[in-house]
Amino acid sequence: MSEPLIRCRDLTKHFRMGSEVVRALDGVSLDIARGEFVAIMGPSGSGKSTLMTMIGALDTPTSGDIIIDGTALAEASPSALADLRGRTIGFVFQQFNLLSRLSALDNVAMPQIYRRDAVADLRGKAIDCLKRVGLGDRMHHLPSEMSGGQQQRVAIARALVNDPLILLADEPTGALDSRTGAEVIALFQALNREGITIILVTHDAQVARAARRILRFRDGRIVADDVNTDVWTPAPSAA
Amino acid sequence: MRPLAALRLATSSLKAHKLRSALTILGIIIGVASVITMVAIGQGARQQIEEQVRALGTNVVMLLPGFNRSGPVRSSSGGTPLTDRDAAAIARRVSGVEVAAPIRQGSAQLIYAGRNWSSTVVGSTADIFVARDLTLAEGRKFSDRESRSPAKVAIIGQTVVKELFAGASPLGQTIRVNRVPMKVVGVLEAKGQNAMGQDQDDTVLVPLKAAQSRLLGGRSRGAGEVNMIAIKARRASLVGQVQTEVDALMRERQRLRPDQEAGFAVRSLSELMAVRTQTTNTMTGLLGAIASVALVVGGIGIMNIMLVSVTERTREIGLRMAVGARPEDILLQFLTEAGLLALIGGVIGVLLALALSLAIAQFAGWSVSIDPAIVLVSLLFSGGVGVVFGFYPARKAARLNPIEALRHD
Ligand SMILES: Nc1ncnc2c1ncn2[C@@H]1O[C@H](COP(=O)(O)OP(=O)(O)O)[C@@H](O)[C@H]1O
Ligand SMILES: [Mg+2]
Repeated sequence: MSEPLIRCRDLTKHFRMGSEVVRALDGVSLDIARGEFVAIMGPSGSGKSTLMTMIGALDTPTSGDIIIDGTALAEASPSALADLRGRTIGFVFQQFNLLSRLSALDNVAMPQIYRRDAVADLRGKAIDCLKRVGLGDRMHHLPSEMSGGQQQRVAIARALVNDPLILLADEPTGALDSRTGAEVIALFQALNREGITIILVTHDAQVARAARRILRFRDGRIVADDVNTDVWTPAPSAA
Repeated sequence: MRPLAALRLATSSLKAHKLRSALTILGIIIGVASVITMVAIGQGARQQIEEQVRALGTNVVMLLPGFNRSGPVRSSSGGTPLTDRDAAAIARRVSGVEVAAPIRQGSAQLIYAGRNWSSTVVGSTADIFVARDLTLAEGRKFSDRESRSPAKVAIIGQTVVKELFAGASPLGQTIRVNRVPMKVVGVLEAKGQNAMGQDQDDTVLVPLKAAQSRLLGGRSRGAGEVNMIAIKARRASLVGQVQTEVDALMRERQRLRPDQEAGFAVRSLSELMAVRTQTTNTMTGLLGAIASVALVVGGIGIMNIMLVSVTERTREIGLRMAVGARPEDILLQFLTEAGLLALIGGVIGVLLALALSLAIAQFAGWSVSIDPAIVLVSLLFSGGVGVVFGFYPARKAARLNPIEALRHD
């Protein structure tokens, strides 16, 4: 491995709350190579989500540099950042963030309308992604007609629709029971085997054991960076 | 984002809030429909006046006593009143004049077989037929002898025929004009309203001397005084020259010093009509301006609903940005929505205006004229209103920070 896919150097993020300054990130340096599966753990408020939004180019650090797939975020234009968010990175949120008016298929297809390149059969690609997460038979359901686990899988299909290099998942199982959570984790492992780099934030030690590398956060810093030798592999469920 | 995708997004979001969209569109409909209808009414009025001017003939010049006169005849500056001798002099000495008809007119009470009607009596010579483009429907004009004397003969207009004779033939009958019995020798062809909205068929034509000495006497009885002289130039191109020469001749006849203000005015009919047309234009502008306020209010409605929509959909905007939407994409999405609201309202507004204008023409009897240019301008204007009033909310959406928008609730 020469160049890491994700490189963070001395990242800080300060939030001003009245007269007080919250140091959400306080000097984080981190390299993640192509194809890694990294879990991030740590108490609430330790800066995990803040790091995810920085890597996801949704927010900018107070200081420090982020380079993703050779692109330095600080120097990138708004349009290049939009491209990065749409094409290189797929985001999965704890609260799914599906659009309630749209069917599962339309939710998955949503990122496609912002692509600037001409792609043949966008629709077919969206359908393939839904099938990939095991929802080929739920394409025309509205989010309100699906279970939490199904909604999260729609959100994952949406994150996959533009073939990202990186999947960022911030507590994706936080709103799910352990059985459906395990299904989602099995899906992530399968995706990782196909080469997608995954960063997963979780409170659940069992879920974290699905990754081969576990980072621990405290007060905006990385306090541990361990290799996980005891990888948990939940049985892939029939959808 | 491709325009088609933006359009699809906009329609689906408008459909998601049907009542809200319909009410916003209604605001634009009212605005566009009122602009077009108001302007159509104003332009209809103007067109009517222009037609009337054309019908009057553009080569007629009126010689009038000073405008701020105290009596019906006498001029304000104490100058000499106009007389039939002035008319004769003009006809004789001003080149390019076809006829100069002296006119003495006033109101008259008409009585025939117990029926009463008040009308306008016009005393003149046979030249008035040329000057005013009058034609006989039946009967005859005044003979030369009658023209020169206070003969008790009259030629009546269609309205008088209708009111006094109720369809029966008036020829040879005797009517009383201000108590004086006059024999009807002719009936005029109908002419309709003039530019001032007066009924030109409500008239009784009598020999000038009859009007002066028998029917409209008063102070100036026998003095040969007239209210005005209608002068017809041989060609439209001679009107200006005739005006100048009549002015010079009259100054000479009234022995005015060069610096002295004339107690008369020489006006071409098109000049008189121009004033009227100007007034109508002002009215059209005013109506249009008032109606435009409705359109602006409609635009504010769009802005209002778009602001609500941006606030409601902050999370959606954040999400779209998180999956690759550029600020321009968000801007385009909301502008399309606003523009679509305005355009739908504009199109329905145009249709409504067409229906309204037809209804007004039909039921109120006003003449209306829909100018395709105004329709186009209103459509563009309403589209513009949508874009202008939609721009602020759309830009507000496009400038949202993705993560703050995502966290919004
Ligand atoms: N937008 C914000 N404004 C102010 N403070 C914030 C904001 N986002 C996060 N923080 C603060 O930064 C710290 C780290 O938050 P976060 O990264 O969400 O923690 P975690 O995801 O590990 O629970 C917390 O103290 C939180 O209150
Ligand atoms: Mg968090």
